[in-house]
Amino acid sequence: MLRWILGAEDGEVIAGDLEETFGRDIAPHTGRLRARAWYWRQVTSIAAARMFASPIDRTDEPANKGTTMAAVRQDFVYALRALRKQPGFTIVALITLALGIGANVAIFSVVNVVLVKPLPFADPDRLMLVHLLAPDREAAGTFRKMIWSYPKYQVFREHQQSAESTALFTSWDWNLTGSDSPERLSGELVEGTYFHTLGVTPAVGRTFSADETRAAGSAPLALLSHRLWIGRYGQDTNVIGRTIGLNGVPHTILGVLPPGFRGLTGQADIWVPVTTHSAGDLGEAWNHSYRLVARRRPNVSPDQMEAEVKLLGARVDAQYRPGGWKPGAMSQETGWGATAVPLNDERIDPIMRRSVLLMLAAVVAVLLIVCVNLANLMLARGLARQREVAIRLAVGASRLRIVRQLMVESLLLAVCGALGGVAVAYGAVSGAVALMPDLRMVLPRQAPSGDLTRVGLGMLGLDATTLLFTVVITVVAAALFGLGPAWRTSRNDLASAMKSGATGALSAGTRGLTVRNLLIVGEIALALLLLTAGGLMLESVARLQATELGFKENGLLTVRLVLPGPHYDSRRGTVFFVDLLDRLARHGDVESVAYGNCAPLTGPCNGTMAQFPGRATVPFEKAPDVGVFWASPRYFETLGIRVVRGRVFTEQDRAGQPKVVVINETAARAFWGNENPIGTRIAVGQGGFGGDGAEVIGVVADVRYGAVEKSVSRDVYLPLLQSARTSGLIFVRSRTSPESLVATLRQEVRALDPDLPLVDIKTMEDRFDDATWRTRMSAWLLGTFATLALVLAVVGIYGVISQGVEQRMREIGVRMALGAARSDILRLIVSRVLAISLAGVVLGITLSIPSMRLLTALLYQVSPGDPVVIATLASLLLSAAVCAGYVPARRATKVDPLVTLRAE
Amino acid sequence: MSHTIGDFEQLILFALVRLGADAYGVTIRREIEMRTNRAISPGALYTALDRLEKRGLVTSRLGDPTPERGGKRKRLYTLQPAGERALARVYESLRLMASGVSARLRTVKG
Repeated sequence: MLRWILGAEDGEVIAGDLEETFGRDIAPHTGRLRARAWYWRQVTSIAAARMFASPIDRTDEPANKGTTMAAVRQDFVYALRALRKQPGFTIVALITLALGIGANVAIFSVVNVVLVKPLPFADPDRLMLVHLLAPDREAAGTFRKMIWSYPKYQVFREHQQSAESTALFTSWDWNLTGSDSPERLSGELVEGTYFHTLGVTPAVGRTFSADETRAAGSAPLALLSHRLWIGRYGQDTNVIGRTIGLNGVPHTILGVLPPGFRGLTGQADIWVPVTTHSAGDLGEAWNHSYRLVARRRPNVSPDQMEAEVKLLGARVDAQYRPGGWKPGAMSQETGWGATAVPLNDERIDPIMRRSVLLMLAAVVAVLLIVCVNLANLMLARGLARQREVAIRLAVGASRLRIVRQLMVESLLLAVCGALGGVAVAYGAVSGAVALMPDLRMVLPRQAPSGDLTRVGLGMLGLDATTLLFTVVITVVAAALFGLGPAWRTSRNDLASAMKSGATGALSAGTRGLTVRNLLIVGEIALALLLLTAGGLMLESVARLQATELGFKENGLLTVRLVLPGPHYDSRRGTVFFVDLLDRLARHGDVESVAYGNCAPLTGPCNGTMAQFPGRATVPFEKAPDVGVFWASPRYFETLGIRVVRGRVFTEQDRAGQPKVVVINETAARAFWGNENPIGTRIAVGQGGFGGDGAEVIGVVADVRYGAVEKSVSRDVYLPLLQSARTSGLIFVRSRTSPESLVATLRQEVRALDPDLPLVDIKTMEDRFDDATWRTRMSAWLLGTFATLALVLAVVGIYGVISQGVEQRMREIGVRMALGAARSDILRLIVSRVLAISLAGVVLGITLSIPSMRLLTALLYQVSPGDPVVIATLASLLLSAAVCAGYVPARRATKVDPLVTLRAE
Repeated sequence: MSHTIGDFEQLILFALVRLGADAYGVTIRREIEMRTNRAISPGALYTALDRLEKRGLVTSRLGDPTPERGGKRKRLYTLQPAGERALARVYESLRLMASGVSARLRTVKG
């Protein structure tokens, strides 16, 4: 500190003196704390003496010491004194700057990790995702990106030239067995080349070798994440070669991956070769289960790779088309293809990208408003300092010198504000990280980029890029709010300023006031933009909350259970679920309990194509899509799903009895129109309900299984008792609060299988919150920024109007002396406020029409130009502005004309 | 430029005379504190030394680092002829004014 204030040499000498005195006279005689207090008292005394030495002392230093650095330091000291003299101004400036810069830094840190920062893999530019392309049945001529099956991939791997390495991977979960606390581990099934492709080397041990992952049925091996290694094994290097129980099978641990590496799915703690534990049968060409990552050769361009991948896609299609799942059905249709996309292009889902960039735009607008306010305050300060500036100009200071001096002041403010801003951002980012515990729920599960977003968000924090951004916006902000006012202040009519403070200010002030009025117009327009954006998002949230979900979400506790094979085959799985339902139903505070395979709002759920045995056969590719769900007898009662027609499943609808299904209203309308579907038959190619299908026994209300924003699909429910499952959810409706049943649930599951981990226990209300997270988060953030903008605009208007009033005191005094009534004065000022605000609002509305369209993708059931929202917020802003102007206006009417006139 | 030197500056110049070659921040401060029994603010001391140097009454040079200073160099001050003259002038006028009244002052102070 001393060195910085005093310069290197003086700093050294004085610090040395202090240390010597300290060691000889102070430390031996006093306690540590008091000695330290003494030391700091000395330091501050010296620093203060230097910094607040009279400027005369410092300005007439010999020219040889007058280097630029010395001069800037002198400006700095002078600026510090100037800011200290006006603590009110300084505090307001610092708080608004800290909020404005802090919001920018916090949002930028998100932009940085999801868009800017390179993905944490070696040479990430050369990593490509390769997708299969399937013709989109909904829109002819377009393709959907698809994942790979193992046999199709083998064709690709064998013939491709443009990548130096390729690897299949997919996310997979295991139950950790053979330990005291059952746990569910997320991980990845990977090809042996995965780590080499990503350029990741293990922290301990080794990764899978090519031989170990060559053929299906290879030995059970596992790699651990660094996190899991620390958490479960206490960083014990002897863990290599030991085994870890996954779904009851011991896997040999080969190595530990480096800290922070969680795979391309961003949440892996364990890696197992795809040949050990496959997501399906590795020989099935139509079992699309894997994603494909490839490392492009350095001399191959992305376009060249894309060209090759396209050819290989056609080759794969040619090889597998005739042997497809439904022979003949696809042949006359458009073939499949393949495409390669840079990994970096898929790191964020387009809607997330848009909302993140919109947030950035919003905070930039907030910072602009902050700068406008500060520029106004600086202009006013400039006016108050006209005499001082005039004197300095008169005694020979150059205009540049004055501007520099004032700019140093702005920069000092901005830097201190930025320091506060970084603290604000650090708090906000840490808070956000803590509040975002389950990214799996938050991000679209099957979107190709959902997982990569997770990889990005895992790096959330303040890093060098963010700090660089902070420095840039700090300097830009200082220039924005400092340069104009500094230039104006330095352009000073010497004579008039010297003549008299008050009259000088008046003559020079009128033009300043026009500029300031324009600034306020811009500020109000920006504030209205932010308010509208926030209002539209809040309206979307309100519509989301009001959406008919088709079930009663309150009072419901849910838990996901995955019964590990091979112990649980489908028969044992059903027995387990039926036992568990029976046990839970016996508890007094359980009103009703049921099994379902997919929780509402968490989709996309399972689906397939339907056929109607009673009607003419439809070709495979023309058959309609349906959602397929499994439900236990009391499912509809437990979730509170209304039965529209017929009946729902009973205990009698079990294996051996005639097969039955329940459909939702959308399916009934789509497939039967106005006819009664009860008693007709429908077939779905899953769960043993293909062929001649099953009888429709009931129609129930639509339930939103996918995102709230998505339209409801045509759904078919199969009875659990006729179609076995080994995974799914238990829904418990409580007579009291759902949280109180958590212990009961745990206890009953443990009684049946102590090895089964209970993860993902949530109330249905929590699941609703998760499902609407993005919209609510956007609304909350935009709402906060809009409120901030409103407050800042009001403060800005108040500041400008009250300064305007003060400068026109004399004029007001004259008017009143000449007989103007107080109400005339009030009308004069308030009408000016109204004119400024109206201009701002009109500008804001004009700008909002194109800019709000950017929001469209994020809105739900609200049009970006919603007139009610815009009108409400515009009038809110107008009335706030008028109130802000009314206070100084009233003060103006209290003026005693005699006093003002006499003061001249 | 004014040729008067302030009270505190006089004390510093006297200390320089007494300390000779070993005059630097620590010793000057200790000399004044011990003799006058008055606490010296370090800020004031360095500011005053700077001022004296700028007026050509003292010069300074960097000395050697010593271990008790954490290896940092000291700035040694030397009284210049101009400083000696200024000090002598002050002392002379003080002596002239004080002659004959010093006994009374002592009794007043007790």
